[in-house]
Amino acid sequence: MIISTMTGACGRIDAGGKPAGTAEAVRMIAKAGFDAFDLTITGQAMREPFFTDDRFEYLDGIKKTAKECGIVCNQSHAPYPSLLRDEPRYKEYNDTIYGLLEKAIEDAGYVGAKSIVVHPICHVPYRGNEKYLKDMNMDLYRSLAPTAKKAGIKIALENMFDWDPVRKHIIDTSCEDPYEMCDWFDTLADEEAFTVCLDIGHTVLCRREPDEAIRVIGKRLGALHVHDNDYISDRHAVPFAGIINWDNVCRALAEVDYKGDFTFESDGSLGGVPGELVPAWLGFTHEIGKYLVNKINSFR
Amino acid sequence: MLLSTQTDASRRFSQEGTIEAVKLIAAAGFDAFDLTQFGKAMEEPFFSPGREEYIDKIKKTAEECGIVCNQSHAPFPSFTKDDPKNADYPAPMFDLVSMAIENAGRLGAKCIVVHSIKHVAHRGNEKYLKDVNMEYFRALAPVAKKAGIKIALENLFERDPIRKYIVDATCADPAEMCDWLDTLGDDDAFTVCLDLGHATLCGREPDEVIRALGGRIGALHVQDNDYIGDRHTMPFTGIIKWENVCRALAEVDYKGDFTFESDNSLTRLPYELLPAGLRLLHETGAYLRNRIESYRGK
Repeated sequence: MIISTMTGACGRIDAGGKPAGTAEAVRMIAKAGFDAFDLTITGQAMREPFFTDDRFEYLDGIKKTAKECGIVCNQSHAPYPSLLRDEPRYKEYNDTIYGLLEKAIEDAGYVGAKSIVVHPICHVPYRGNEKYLKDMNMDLYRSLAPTAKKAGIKIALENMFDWDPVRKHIIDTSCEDPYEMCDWFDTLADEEAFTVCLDIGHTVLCRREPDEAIRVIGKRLGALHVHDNDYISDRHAVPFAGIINWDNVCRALAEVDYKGDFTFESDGSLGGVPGELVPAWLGFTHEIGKYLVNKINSFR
Repeated sequence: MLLSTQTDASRRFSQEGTIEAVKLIAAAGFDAFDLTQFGKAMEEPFFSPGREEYIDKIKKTAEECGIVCNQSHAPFPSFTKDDPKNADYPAPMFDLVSMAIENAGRLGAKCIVVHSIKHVAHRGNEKYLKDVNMEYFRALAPVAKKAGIKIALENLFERDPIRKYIVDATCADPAEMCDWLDTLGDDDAFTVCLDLGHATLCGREPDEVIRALGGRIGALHVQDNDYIGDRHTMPFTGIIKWENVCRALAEVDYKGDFTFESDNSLTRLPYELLPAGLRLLHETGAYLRNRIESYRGK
């Protein structure tokens, strides 16, 4: 099982006053022992030339660095959100995001990733809009499928959460309910273009145990976002920094004979770390990954 | 400046847990260990007849591993001798603390943190609490001097029972800490342990407290938090500004050790991952120590 982590936070770390960038992130991740990297094409990484006309030259540079370091790109994350509310202040974003999603899919396929997480649209309150959101997302994903197939990559649906503004706590939105995830995936009915990425941390925020979600999703599961939290906030911390029961997670992944990769999305632990300590944190994260992969294998 | 961490989280996995903890801490590269003598560690033979033999066993392990004991933490909370809560413990807390002081001295620690008595709300009882604690600490001083160790006063907090947030308790205000230490007036027996995390919980920046305490600081509890809960996690997992802390420690020419009390970053790790967690903690300490040294003389 490939152990991977995201380029996001490493790429943000200052190196001589400038952000280090994805290629440097790839070097750091490889040096820490990871087999693969998850190409972050969100947030600050969007300042890199992932969307320009000459982007394939930039991607070639990343590919070359990865090859030199003996590491591959297994997964990626597209820009998000996939749509904002229909308000004048969001018009420019809404007019451009679809094009960015297409380019991100092409980028990730070019670099060799097996899947790219594309967030479902969840721009309106979930409760009462379940059918509307499903219809919108079926349109979105079906329209992106040809791009994904051409790029040789699958689009991964991710379980998402929302915030109740009155009660001030996290609640379900698109695909958080694993039964809804299964329904959407089965409705799309195109395993060549789609897979499921289970975000383990998101499940507990929405009052489910990750192992329950794993068992419901079963063989549809093609990718993971591995991170820990306190069941209250989306901390994206390394496992064992929160209260998720990792033995249960590993047992469930073994039970469903999960065949995907073990990809960390735990850069919340790196957010405050100075550049000099990032290698130590990456090494620690990798050791955790090895431990958990061994646990999964021990349960098979 | 010695890099040290508490034995608390590392002692979880065996009956003679502290001995195992010393080995793990040494293997991770630390110069020293802070002997935990509270909580679950009290199940070890620190307070029973023959405890000197157990302490000597720990000392021998430390010597074999090339590590020293620089600091310790006595059982808490502290009570007055007539407090009925003493009955919840195997011996009156004063006796347990006295034994802990002797243990730590026997191990060679430079200081032992002893919590002040804070059995009533701080606000409105400042003078009463000072009187109670002056009596308490002065009674412990001869024990400390005989053991060749200093008692370290720590800045503490409490929770407002109605508003539910953290507020000052004894010595949280650095002015009060200075006043208490100066009133005790015995540098042979007493020093200050500044808990950096506790400072932020009570609405202060750690660097401001460091400057206010100045040369009185003899020890540290290094931990991070979110300014809301007493998280005791390692630096850079919270929001404390570590550059400011390092700069202030250099400014006051801090001469003590750099002792972590951040075991909540380790307590959930399975045994197999504890060495990796301790190594990360040590690297973090080495980085911060370098930052302090880089600010000295500037």
